[in-house]
Amino acid sequence: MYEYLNNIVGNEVITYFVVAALPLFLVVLPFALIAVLAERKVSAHMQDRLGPMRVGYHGILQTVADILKLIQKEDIIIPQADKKLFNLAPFLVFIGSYAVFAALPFSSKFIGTNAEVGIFYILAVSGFVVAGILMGGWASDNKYSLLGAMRSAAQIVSYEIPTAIVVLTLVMITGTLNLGTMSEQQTAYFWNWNILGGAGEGIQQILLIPFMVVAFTILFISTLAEVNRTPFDIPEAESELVAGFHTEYSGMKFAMFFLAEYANMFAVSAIIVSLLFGGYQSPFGYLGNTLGIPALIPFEQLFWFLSKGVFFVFVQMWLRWTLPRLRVDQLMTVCWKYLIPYAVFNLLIVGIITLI
Amino acid sequence: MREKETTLYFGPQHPGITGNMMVKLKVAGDTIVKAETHVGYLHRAFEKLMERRTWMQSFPIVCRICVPEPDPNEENLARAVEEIEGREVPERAKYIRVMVLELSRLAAYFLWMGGQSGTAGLYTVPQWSVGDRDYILDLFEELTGGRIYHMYIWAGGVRRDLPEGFADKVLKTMDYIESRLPEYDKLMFDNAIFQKRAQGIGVIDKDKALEWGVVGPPLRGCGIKHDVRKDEPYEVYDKLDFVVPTYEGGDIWARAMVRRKEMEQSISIIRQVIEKMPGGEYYNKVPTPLNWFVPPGEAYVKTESARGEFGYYVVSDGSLKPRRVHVRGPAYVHGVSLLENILVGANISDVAMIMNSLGVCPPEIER
Amino acid sequence: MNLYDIIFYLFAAITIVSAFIVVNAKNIVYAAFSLLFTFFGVSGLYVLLGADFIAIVQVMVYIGGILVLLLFGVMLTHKITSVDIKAGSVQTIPAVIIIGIFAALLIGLMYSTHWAVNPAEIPVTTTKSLGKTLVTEYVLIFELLGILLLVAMIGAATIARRDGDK
Repeated sequence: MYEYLNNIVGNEVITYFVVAALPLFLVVLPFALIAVLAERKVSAHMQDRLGPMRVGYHGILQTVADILKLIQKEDIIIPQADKKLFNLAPFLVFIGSYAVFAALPFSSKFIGTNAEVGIFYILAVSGFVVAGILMGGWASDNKYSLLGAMRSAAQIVSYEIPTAIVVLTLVMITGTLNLGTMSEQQTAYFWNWNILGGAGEGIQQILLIPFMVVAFTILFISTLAEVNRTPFDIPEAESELVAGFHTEYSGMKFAMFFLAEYANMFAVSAIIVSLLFGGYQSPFGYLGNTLGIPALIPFEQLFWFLSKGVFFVFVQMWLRWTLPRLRVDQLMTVCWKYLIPYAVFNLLIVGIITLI
Repeated sequence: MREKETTLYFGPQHPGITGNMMVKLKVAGDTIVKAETHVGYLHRAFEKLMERRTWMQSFPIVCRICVPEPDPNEENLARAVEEIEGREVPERAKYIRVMVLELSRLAAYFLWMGGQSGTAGLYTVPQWSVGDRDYILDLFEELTGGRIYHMYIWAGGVRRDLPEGFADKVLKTMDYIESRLPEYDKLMFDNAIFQKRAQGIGVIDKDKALEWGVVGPPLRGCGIKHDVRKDEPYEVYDKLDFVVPTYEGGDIWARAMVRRKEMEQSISIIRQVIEKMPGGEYYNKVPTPLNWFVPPGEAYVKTESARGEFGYYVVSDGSLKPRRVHVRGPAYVHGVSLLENILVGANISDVAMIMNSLGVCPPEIER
Repeated sequence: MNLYDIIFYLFAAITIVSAFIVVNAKNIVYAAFSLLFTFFGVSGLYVLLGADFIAIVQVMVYIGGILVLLLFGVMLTHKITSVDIKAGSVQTIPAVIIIGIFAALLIGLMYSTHWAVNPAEIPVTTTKSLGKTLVTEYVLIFELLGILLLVAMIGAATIARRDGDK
């Protein structure tokens, strides 16, 4: 990827910028455009409605219209707000969620950085999101914003622990922190996926299956909480905190938060996919191999990665419109009294199984 | 270590509040230490307005006292006037009135159901329930011409007879609503998270409930069987067969389940009414409104509304206009004193849920 | 000057400027948030040194953990945000003398040391070898640290549950 681009562009710096910007323009922005519409459509059809129908065929261009509207909107900064931090916060949040995309293996040929610490890096950069949310909540000078920011930060920090333990479980099995390598190991065909015990054969793989399912459940719940989605949307709980930490934001700054939320949704889905569902690997083997066109394979991989990720995003939306939200103390109970102990036991048992 | 208290203004512009009112909360951490209700954002002086209107002109005013469920207001004023005047109401009108009252109770419960689950963060139920409520509003539109404010029940009977084929439409709608209720159960009442959120929250003490003047579903949620329809039957409720469901616990969950069961009862009542409805007159005509002198006297009438016992105290001095109309609504007790009492010790996440479960209706508090 | 030099100076500038703000900010929240960029710059420098694991740990522990804790502390403390903290200079002369001595020492060391300059190589991954070293060579220290952290955690939990004694 680098070499190829480097040959075209001829300059290392430009190459890096291009590589860094690719996920943004190829994945995040189109995804956000589609996902916002999809969320409205999914929710509408779950609620016996049609959703947006006016702009374009069945409202396809609704998000584009919304973005145009948001760009034109007045950027309101309330006089009591701390202007500098207020302006900085949306960017920090977006940086935090966009940085995750650097380590996601979109296909065997397209991964932002093939650093050895991949998944660990992903867990680390979410710290920026927490700091950004706290910054936005504090700078807004609004009690609801501050409460939302506090809750959000507490929630993300807490749920990082079960996520990290489950990730550790997977790291133990695969022996690597690199998501690219992890995906590579789960070779094409779904019975090689980590959720089904990973590649290889033997009693160990079969023994692993139930614990991988537990791992998946914990990972899904805790990542759902990390992106503040229902039933864990407590930081933005409309009937309690109006809109949480972004109550005072309007226009493009609000859009940044919104974009970050959707980018995050895809990012955590992609993490689940890379860890447990074969990453970019196709479940049924590659068309490129059958047809004898190896150049097709990376595109197939990109397709499978995106579709698996989008599927989990859909599950997140599905849950959002079928579940009420938890109360803040119940949320913490779920994390500390259930998920973390289960995750630790799961880690221990998987450790024993891998030693057999 | 004492936690610092902060004042949180819950309203008047807040998505979790049930109307234009404000709750001033003193919170320590997430727990409410003191709650103060502030009303006055929606005062429209209906009671005073009626003293300057003729009796007939008062009917379009009273139904605006509560938006979600206007009919008990009309019913109350109509019955009060009838009691003072000694006016007979035809049997058919009584049945039609019961049907309208129960339909409006169902509509109000649908709206409540949406609010209750919306405050819990489940936004699918509001969309469904508002959609289903619209089928009832369609019936109202056909019957009365208005969807929300009907101005249908008035002194001496009802304004119009049932349109042709209306009974069948009502039955059809009832069948549809009955088929929908299990889906609401699946989505909301059987949902483990909703149960977790609702159980043990916003508890009204059973011993204190009567003392505090709690009425309606919140009282029945404490396990006290009190329903005006059964205790002091008005119209034709004594000829109808229905039960008053009660639940123990006094929490949000009990109140929700009481309402849920009452929806089934309402459907059954409407079916019985349609079955038993006699023919004949629907309106015992009053004189020209401009020349309608109600004899001096006073009356206190009460109706069981979706939020509880709804009382009207009407005084006539024999003139064209009411001397005094006093509205004693359930939301006044529930939304001001009771809310202040049971919010103490609750989590701020539960404020909206508790408010909704009590059926707080600011326009009725301030009428 | 190649790309890595530019990136190095960028990170160094971020670190120094934000560290300067940390000590000079009148508003303690500003100081806390500037610390974020200081940590970030330092972790960038680690990456340039080829210590990718340490860099990520820096981000995870300092930004994700300590800084968030610090922000919680600052924001939840009563009225601390509105109090102007003292950022003026006191006892300038002793400070200048001490800093001068240290600077002289450091510069002297810098010039007297014989720097072995290795040709730049692509950093090999450190995670695996780091892990191996931790559980073989330094296993005792590693375990002791684990026990220490556990004790600290239990202690914190005991202090936190003040209602449990009844």
